[in-house]
Amino acid sequence: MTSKTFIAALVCAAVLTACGSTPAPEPQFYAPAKPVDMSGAWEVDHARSDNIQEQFNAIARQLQREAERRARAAERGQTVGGPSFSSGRDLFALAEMAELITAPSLLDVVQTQSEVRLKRENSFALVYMIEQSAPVVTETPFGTEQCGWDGHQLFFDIALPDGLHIRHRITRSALADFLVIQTAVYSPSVKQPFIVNKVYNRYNPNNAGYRCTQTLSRGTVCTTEAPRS
Amino acid sequence: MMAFCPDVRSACYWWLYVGSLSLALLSQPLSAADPSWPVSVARAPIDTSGEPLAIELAVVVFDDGLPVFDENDARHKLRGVETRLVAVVLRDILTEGQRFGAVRVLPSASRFAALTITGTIIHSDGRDLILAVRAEDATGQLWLDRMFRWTAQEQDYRGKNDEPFRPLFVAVANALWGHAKNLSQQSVSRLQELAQVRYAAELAPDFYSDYLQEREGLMTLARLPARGDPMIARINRIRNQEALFIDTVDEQYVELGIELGPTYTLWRRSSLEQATYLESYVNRASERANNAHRGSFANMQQVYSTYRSVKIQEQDLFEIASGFDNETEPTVLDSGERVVRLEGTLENQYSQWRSILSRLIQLERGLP
Repeated sequence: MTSKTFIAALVCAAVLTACGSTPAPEPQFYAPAKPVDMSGAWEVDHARSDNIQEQFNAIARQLQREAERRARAAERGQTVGGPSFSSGRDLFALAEMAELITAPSLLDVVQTQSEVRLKRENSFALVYMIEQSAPVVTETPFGTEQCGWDGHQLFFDIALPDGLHIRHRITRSALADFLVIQTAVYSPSVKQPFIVNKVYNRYNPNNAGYRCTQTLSRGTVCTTEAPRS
Repeated sequence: MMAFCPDVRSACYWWLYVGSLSLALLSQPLSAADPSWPVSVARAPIDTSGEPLAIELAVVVFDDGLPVFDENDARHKLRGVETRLVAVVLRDILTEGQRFGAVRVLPSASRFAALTITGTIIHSDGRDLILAVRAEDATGQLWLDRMFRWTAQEQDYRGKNDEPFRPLFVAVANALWGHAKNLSQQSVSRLQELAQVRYAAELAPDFYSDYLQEREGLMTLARLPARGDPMIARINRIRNQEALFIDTVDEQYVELGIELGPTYTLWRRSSLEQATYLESYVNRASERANNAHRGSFANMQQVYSTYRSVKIQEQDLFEIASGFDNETEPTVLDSGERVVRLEGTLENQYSQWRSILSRLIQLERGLP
């Protein structure tokens, strides 16, 4: 089963089992850390990543079939159990959120002895301070973050107000040079998480023909000079 | 609280949580309410009361206060630069007051001066600077051992060349002078003599240790070397050479201050603006009602966008530090190399002088 068909199946299952309860991710037990070097510049591989639009379409078709089934049942004077349209809207909302959260297509991972910093294009960086063992918990007024190594995977769990929960798992392939970020988004009104897998290939930012550096007094300074080796 | 907010992820818990922890977010990297911090010092002019005293002061480059220095971390490199700049600013303020004799910045602790000032940077951003300062004289008596804090405002950055944290350094200078101005001229003379003998004893411990004695935990003079003691004359000559050497090192620090000062001030100012903006954003976000129903896109988007915005603002502070690092790295490296070379030379010269002096002492005393 490919990841796309798996997600499509997952989405259908979610539609059929959605309810108004507040789900929470399962408690986590972490394997001993086996840190992996993820440093470098990475760009999304759309061909190998999940396509959220296709998942939207699958949901739409599923909901349409569901509506037709309900309509036929109503004509026969029968009632159909299962989720209502509002849960369908919530699922769409969750998918939209997943799209928003997984939008960054470029990553710049800086890994030092003390931290791993995943800088994401047009979003905030995911930062893990290495000196503490997993899970490292950071509480802020707007959410609680847990992060750390779970074996060779780096994870970031973000619990936000109103039951929104985001779980990122970052894995570097042992066989080929790519990263996979699996993002699970949990909503309080949809029973199953919406899961998106994004594959990132390594790329050389200097191939663009220029490179930029952030400075204080001159802002972003770009040059076409090749970097000194 | 849980009785009203059964779900820890509910909006009501969030609202109360914001109320109780609205400043906690700023603790990384900017903090506003660490209970262990001292209160900000009062703004005051430099105390110039009383007669100046001829005591030589040494300000040792500050400790960075970091548990582990990560040379790849821009913030740590910035802190490394600050350890020198802070010492230079303190020296400048002490010199400006004209209450003491020569004030020199040393790369590492030494028995060179009658009063040695050491310190640690406890916290530094554009808004709060906290220094733990310790001043110990040649007897071993502590003149000062406490933390100083100044919380800068926008107005502190208005003067182009003004030091925004000047009140803190003035407070340190005044605290030192508050102790010093009660000393008699005789005490000052004895302190200078003691400093000279301790310096000699450091170079030639076998020969000059007998001149010192420890009484109630403090070092005092047991006796003075004879007038015209050739070894003391030799040590004084070496001491003068060291003074010249330290002055050369000092010039490097002054250059560092001139070259990096404007960028450093810009970094501090940017950090302050960022912190102020973040604080106001936190306040505005916490007051904003989220009326959309839970699970709707509008609700989740607002929750996520708020979190994302706060994180981005917070991380911009890191980027500002990186910007400082990117701009100053070649200079710092150059200066750093020169300073490191000088430090090394200073330390090497110490050991060379000691071995040469020990050899001279042995030769003069007819020892093999």
